[in-house]
Amino acid sequence: MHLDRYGDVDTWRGSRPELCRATLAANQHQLHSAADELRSIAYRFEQQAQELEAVARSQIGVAG
Amino acid sequence: MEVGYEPSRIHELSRRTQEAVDRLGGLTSSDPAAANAIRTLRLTRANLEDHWMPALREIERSDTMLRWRASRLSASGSLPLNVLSGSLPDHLRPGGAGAVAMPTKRRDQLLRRLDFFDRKAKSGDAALREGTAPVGAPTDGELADLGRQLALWVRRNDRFAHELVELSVSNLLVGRLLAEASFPASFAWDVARRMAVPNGPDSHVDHDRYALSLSTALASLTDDSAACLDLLLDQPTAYALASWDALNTAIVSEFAVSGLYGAVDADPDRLADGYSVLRFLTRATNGPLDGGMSAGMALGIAASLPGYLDTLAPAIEQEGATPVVIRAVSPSIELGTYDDLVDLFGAVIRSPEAQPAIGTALAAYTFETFERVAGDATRRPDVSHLADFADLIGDASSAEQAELVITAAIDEARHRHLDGLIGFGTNVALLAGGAGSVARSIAGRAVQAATRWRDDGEPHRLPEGRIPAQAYDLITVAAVSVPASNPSMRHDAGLDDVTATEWAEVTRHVDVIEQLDDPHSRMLAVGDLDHWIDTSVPALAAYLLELRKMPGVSELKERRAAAGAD
Repeated sequence: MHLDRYGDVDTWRGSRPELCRATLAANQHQLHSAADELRSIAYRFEQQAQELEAVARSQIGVAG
Repeated sequence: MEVGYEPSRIHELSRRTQEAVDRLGGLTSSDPAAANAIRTLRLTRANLEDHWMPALREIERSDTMLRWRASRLSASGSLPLNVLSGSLPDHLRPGGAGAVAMPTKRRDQLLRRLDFFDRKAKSGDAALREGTAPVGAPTDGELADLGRQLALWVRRNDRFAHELVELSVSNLLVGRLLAEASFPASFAWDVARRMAVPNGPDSHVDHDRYALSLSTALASLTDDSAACLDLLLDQPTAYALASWDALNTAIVSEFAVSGLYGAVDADPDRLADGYSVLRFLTRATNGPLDGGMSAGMALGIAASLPGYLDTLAPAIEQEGATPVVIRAVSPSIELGTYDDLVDLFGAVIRSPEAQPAIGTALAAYTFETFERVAGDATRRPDVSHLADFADLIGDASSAEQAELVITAAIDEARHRHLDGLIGFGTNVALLAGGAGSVARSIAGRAVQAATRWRDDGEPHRLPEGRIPAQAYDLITVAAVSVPASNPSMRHDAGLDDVTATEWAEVTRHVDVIEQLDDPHSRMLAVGDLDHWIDTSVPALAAYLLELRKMPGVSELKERRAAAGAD
């Protein structure tokens, strides 16, 4: 999301544009945080998947 | 705080914002781990839809966007907007409370004078109503002087302008002063909007003075057709103008024609906006305006029809609950069902002022249709569309008097061969000899014709159900008179076998019809023409037969027979 580039002070000025920019900045911060959180969750899932795979391989080795 | 914007960048921002809204709307996930992220996406989308897009649309619809031709800001480099204030036109000069400071003393002085003159005007108006001389009312010179001073500060100071807008609903001189000096269109727009809603018909103000003041505000905007259309797009305002009979009929109709016809004539891309207004009014006439609309709005709609018929008529497919969808604009607009449109035109026709305008528009559209299709009349759907529209008007017109006036206007328009009017930018000849739009010219002539016809005492002589019969006869006359005067279209129409002598006889018949004043005599003369063609000119008879088989036209013939015309 790069709307901030198109909606800067060269495009429009006033109290209402300021409010729009402020809420967009807050939303972008929230979106970045959400993306970071998703990446963190994905990393944990990957870690868990690798651990489970290792356990499964060791179980097969014991059985075999 | 400085206020200003660069139009071309606003357009780009608006486009990018809409793209972002669309893309965010397409992102979704049912995974519980993504719940927080999805919620954030929805909040962001809501912010863009609820804050950004309304603000951007408001700017794009303002008069600054309409008048600004080239961006000077791009040439300014990194200069801030307020440095350019001296070189910018008034409507784009950075406003806000700090634009040009207004001395408090000056503000108080002007407002006191405004209040004083309003009280004097009030007592003067009361005296006039009682039939006595308005002694003590402010003079024209005093009002003009005050208007000029107020306009000067309205241009310089947004806060003062806003204060006057809010004052306009209680100090009725504000609206009237719009006629005394040159105020910015945006200010007149704000005043009209503020006054129309909600202090119109449902309030307890002095309706007469209020109506006069609002009417004056509307009149001051009439020359700015884009501003008129923008105000009509504001639904509460459009409803107020369509429902309040106290407003000046001529002013409201001029205002409506300027917006619905003039604005689209000047910018065809605004046809969709015109239809948006008509869609809203269609819904209103199927709801709170079911009993009719103001005469001014009815006449405005009727007189604007020449600009819409070529896109509206083809959209009328079937009767009843079938939607009427205008596909000539993108995205397409659903006006309502056929029955909804019947109610709209019924509400329009209920106004005597609007009746002649509809008849003239129908006649002009008939001739223009045959001019347009030339030799392909039987192979194109245009004539069917024309018949369908005539049928709709017939359905809408339940009152005998309304039918009679419309049919009189149809005859008058046919007599004057008001063809080539349909579609924007056509028939400059009609504009010659006077200011005003084609639509106003049509309405003016039609009203004159209907008035003469009424004064002749004809109404009592004709039966009901005349519109479809008249439209059927109109199609017959136009179908043969157009190729009679346009040899180039005869080959495509399969009329090569008609001899020069026979074409001359067609022309003679048509001339006789055109010179008859009595509608019944004209109807008989059309029958004579029909009979002669049927018995003497096989090629022309075959051509008319093909035309009359077309959907819609056959229905008009049935209604003609039911009206006792045969």
